[in-house]
Amino acid sequence: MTSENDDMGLAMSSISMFNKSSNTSDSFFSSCWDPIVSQSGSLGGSSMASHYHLVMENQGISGTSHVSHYQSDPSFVELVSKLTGFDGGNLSQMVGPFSLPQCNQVANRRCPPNFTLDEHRISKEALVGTSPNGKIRKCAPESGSPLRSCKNGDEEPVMDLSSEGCDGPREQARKKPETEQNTGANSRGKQAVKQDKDSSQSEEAPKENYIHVRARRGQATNSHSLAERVRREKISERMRLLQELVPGCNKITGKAVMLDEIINYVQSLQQQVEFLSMKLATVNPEINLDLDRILSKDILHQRSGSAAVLGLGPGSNSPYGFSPSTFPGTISGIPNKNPQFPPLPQTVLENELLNLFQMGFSGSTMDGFGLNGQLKPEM
Amino acid sequence: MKEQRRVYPMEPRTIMQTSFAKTYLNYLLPELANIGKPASSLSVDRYVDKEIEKTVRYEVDMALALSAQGFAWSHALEHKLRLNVNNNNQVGKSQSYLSHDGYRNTMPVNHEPATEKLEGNPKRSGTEAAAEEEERLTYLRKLIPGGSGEMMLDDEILLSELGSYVSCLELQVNVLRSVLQLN
Repeated sequence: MTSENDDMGLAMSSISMFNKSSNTSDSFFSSCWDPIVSQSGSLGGSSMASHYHLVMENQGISGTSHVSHYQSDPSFVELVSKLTGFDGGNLSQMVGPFSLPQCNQVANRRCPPNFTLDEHRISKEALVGTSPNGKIRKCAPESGSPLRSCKNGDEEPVMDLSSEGCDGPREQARKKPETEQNTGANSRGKQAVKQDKDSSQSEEAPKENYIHVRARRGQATNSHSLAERVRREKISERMRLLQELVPGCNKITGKAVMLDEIINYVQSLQQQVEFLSMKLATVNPEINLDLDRILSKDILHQRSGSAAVLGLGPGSNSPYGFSPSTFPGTISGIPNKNPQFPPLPQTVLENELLNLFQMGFSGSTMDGFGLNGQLKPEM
Repeated sequence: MKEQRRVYPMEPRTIMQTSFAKTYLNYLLPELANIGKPASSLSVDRYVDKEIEKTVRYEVDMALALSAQGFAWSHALEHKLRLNVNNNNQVGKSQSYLSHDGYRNTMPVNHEPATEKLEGNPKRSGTEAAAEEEERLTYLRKLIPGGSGEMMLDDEILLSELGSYVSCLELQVNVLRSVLQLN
């Protein structure tokens, strides 16, 4: 399915993009994603100083040597934003690189040459993911837009934008004057030219932090209304993404109904969490024992080489094996207070977690929520 | 150390899921174990059960906040949890960060149109719709942790945060369900 190929392309290119992002955005990214790695106290996520590299080296995790070759640390936020289309980086100080040692392992050792970097798709999705606050940026070239003027050097400006996009509210003040500057110049220059119905946009060099928005033919060129229009389009873009996120909302037209559905969904998810947590509380004393048992059983399974079970959700692509590295410094850097856990090798825990997902996704009835393997079935 | 061949899917979505699950459980399971220990002796005492429930809920929420750093809501959630812990150390009632149980079941459903604008104004439905939307957005602000903060006043940001919040809630539900299924 083309979507799978796209996914793979996206995976590879997003990893390579993260490569660049970590270079440009080290200064911005303050807290490590992985709270486990940054156990030194930045669990609150507000530590400004813990860069990924430093933390990793401090931890003395054995995978570091591999990791240091490979600088990309896809941040969880970026992953979420790329997958859902939402930019989580609005809180600029919160975004931080984190370590996915196994992920880095994969990319380091095996970069399948048969993957074509789908640059256009990447840049499109990355653009969708960036949502700088203060500037007038039309960051989401709609798929139907005929104009894709961001062609060459896509990734560089995109990632710069994304890093700058996290500038936060302090950019708000600059919004108005820049808007007028841009849109005024544009509308003046282009009004005489016959245009398509879709508004065209062009990304300037990275040093300019805004996107010129042209006035549509026959529409007001007032900078305020242009800004309004851009904002409205951004909002509707987000609504569309939310629509994809909430199951069963494909046919809904209308903002209010859509918001209703979102409210319902959020409430039901929260109720589920509450219910599950109560169940967890009742079952709690037995959990550890069972996990121990199951984990030890799994060790045997692993030895027999049924590792192919892992990571194969419905519709997932062919997995890439790679020689695992062991991480004696636990991936979980949280001090392990529980005497039951330390004997467990970390690799087993990772495998177990993947198995959990297998079971969780395939075994449970999904209450019609479609939480099935992938968050959204990509068909 | 025995070498194990581990197989990982390359999909970013699965990577996200598994990394979330790992972080989440790495935090949660040891914490739960700590909770479980003092209660290993059968306690039929309802007060203690409520305490355990409350603590479990706290840990569940904290695990979510820590596993999904980088969002405004996760930051707000963590902050709120820590604040609640400091304030409510002795209280035994089960408390979640959704401290607004009062209105949770009352959904703002706007059946009747606004009564003021009854003229045949084509804009009327527009304004009604806008008002409805605003109402719902306000409600959503109450649902999402940190929704009352100034950052969420911006609709764009609110919708973004909602997207990530919904995704992470789904992840959390899946992880919790999986853990429970193991038993």
